Amino acid sequence: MTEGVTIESNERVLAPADAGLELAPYAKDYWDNAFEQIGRRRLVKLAIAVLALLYASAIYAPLIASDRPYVLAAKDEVSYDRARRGLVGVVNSVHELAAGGRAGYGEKGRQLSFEGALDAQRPALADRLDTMALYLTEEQRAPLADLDSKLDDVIEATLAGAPDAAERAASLRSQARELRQAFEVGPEVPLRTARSFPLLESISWIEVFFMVLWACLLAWPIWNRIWNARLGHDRDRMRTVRRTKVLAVLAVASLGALVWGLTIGGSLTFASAPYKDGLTAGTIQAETVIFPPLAIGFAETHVEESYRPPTWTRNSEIGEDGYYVRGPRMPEIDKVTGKLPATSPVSVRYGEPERNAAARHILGTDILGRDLFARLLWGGRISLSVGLISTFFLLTIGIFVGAVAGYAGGKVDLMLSRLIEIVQSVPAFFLILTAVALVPSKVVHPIVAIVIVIAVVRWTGVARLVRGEFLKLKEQDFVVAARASGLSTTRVIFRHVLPNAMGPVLVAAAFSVAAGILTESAVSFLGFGVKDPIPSWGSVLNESKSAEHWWIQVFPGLLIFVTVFCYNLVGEGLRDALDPRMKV
Amino acid sequence: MANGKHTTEHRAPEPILELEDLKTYFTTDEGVARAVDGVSVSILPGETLGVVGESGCGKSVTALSILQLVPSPPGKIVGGEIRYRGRNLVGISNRELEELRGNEIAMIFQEPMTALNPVYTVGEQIAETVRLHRGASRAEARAVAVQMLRKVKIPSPETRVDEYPHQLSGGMRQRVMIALAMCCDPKVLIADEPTTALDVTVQAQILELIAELQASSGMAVLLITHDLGVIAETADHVAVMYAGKVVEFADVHGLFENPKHPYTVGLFKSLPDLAAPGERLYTIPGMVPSAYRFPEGCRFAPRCPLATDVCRREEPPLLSIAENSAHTVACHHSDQVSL
Repeated sequence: MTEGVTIESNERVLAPADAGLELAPYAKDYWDNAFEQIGRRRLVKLAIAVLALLYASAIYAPLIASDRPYVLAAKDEVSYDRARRGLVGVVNSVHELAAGGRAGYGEKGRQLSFEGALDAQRPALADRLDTMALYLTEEQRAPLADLDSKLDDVIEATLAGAPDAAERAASLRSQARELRQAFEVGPEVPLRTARSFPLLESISWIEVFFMVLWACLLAWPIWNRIWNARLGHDRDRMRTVRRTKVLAVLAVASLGALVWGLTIGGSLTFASAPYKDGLTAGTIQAETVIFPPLAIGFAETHVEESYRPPTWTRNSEIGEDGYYVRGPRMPEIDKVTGKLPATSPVSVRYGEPERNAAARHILGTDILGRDLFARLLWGGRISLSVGLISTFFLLTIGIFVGAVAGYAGGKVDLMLSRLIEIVQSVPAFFLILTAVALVPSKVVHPIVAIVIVIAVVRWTGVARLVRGEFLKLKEQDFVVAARASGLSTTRVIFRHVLPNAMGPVLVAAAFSVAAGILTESAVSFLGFGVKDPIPSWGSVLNESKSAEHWWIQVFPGLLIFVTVFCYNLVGEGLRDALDPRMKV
Repeated sequence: MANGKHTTEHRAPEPILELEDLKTYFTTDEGVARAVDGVSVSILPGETLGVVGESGCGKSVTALSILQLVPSPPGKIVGGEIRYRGRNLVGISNRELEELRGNEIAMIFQEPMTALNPVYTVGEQIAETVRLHRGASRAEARAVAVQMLRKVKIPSPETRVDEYPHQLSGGMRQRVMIALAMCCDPKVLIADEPTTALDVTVQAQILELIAELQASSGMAVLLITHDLGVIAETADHVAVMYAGKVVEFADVHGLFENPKHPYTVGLFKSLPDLAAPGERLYTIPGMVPSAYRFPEGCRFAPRCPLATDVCRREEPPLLSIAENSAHTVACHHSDQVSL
């Protein structure tokens, strides 16, 4: 019998010591098999690549198409002048408040309280001083410095009800008037060139997080190879560092976001910026301007250029003077009045492609002359994330309900199964429309409402899948064995049963992302989704229903189609890859 | 039935685990299945109790009942007591049960292919139990896992600890299963057909391993099997089960030399006899009755060559075959029974 023990082990015990590694053949685990299966399908790999690029375009949209320059080194006399003249305005308001006192202000019917009104003057003055300081040297701006602290004093005095508050406000006013005089642009006050980074300052830390994350994912083949080479291509060690790799990517992205938030701390801004107008008009005298590849923002309107077909088709042409000389937008003589309707000339602003260049509006423009390419690029942010976020929530609900129903069985299962059936019979789409229409968009953002309703209504499919898997798995010996080891029910459910049930769930997730994107598009198409000027693919599609403006239907439709198609391909690929019977 | 107490009188040490009149029923749409219907056995510390019987006689349900792992619903312990060191386990809270499971009473299963979780390495599975019951750190638990794998004679345990169940052979997996069950030094090991799914050569190794571990740790083993050969080799006492009841209980020599129940005799007769090759094997006529509809009287009567009217009318009690004997049998005609 003791001999028998070695029979089984002799493959190792009797083997020469140096051959140990060869004798430990790398056995593929679940994920190795899954990756290999996916790797075998070209179409699925292509779909993953296309999705990666679509997400990349959405994540990096601000760096590709924006009306803010990356770098701007310029003198802006207009904004300097506006700030200079504004100084007196602020001090005047303070004087008025100080002289009138609380009684003179009369809080009734006003939006701000007396204190609020006084407080609002501080940032107003600081804003103007900052703008001026941008174009002044250190020495030049010295006289401006104490204006700020004096204003603070006066405000404090007014709030405290000091008798000399009005008097001090008056002296501050005369000081401001003097400064306004003294700082007028001229030979004595030359402006210096200020360097700023308007585009980067409009990027928030959360955007940076995703930008870094996606850069890491896109560069994955490179750094993964380097990392594996350092492990000596030992498959077993490569497997054990898998989790470390994922954590490393998340850590790098979080670190990037943290550093960005602490140093630049930009905030998400959607409104269009004044830089291009200033540069075109010459009020901003620029030394260096670096715009993104497409210097057109998604919210920037050119009403003169509305519904311009994609410029590469060359079926519209604008003459030197800015009027159409050819194409669908050429003014025609009105049959009733016999006159040409008045049109305004199309202007080419700073940084934009030439008026007849193929790249000017490669995907055409909408009714307000907004560039469709920029809008679709930015619109992907909404459309693609709605699918992902709603899937995340519906998976959470579905897995929880399905796991409880399947594991508990009996009456709990019966009740939860009926709940699933009830929820399944609710027409999801109309519930979304009702929810978005009824909930005021100021309370809950329409997109958030769509995400919530999709998750609340569509979790049933996942729940049924998970329930079925649990019913099957809970009878398995390893689950009974886990219980026999003394593990608690929650631990058995989430550590031992759930990981074994994740295959079908992942497949369902891929399909539900596609469904989420379609739903958001449909809701936005009906006009219930995002509010102008923020684009989503569905809302862009909604902008014209006329066959004449084919580009407005074709391009967003194509994007929705490609995304949904790719997600379905990935879902199918996952289903095949995770199916144990498919393994060779 | 007074039998449980009756047997303990003859055996000096306190039993570590005692079942008394245990009843586990399954309530389904078809009716009530009396899978375990009044089982009373006891195990002394360090001994091996074999439970033998045909498929469907309630052996496995008895084993699952002890740790209260019977799928519920539909299964339920409806009566009797399970006493571990004198403490009744029926009706104690889930928390108390979880503390006992794996720690005091452990279990190994029939099918090593499915009894390990495919998504975790064997080391992780052992370490999880160690951390749970011993409060060990990750590193300590891993060290225990390696040590346990070495104890169950898995070659190069330092590398095997990071392998997944599917990378191991059936025999190896059963060794891992034993390591997992033994990692917290249980006082009782319930082995539910631990060798049935294995090759004959591997079977012997596994039984040898269990016996070795038992000798070094002093735990009691409840060995459930349908294989009389396994019983002969490993058990100290044997309980023969039929249709949810113990029909005969004896020490292993007593049972093999002097079986007193016609069913036990039928089991012995159906073994292949190396001395007389070429003969057709004996089969006990008829089928195990359905647990939903047990016959009245003796449950073995419809298949029994000795059955008389009294058998079909009255259920025989489990009685000693002689004064002061621990050998008990439930048969009206045990005096007529011989091999």
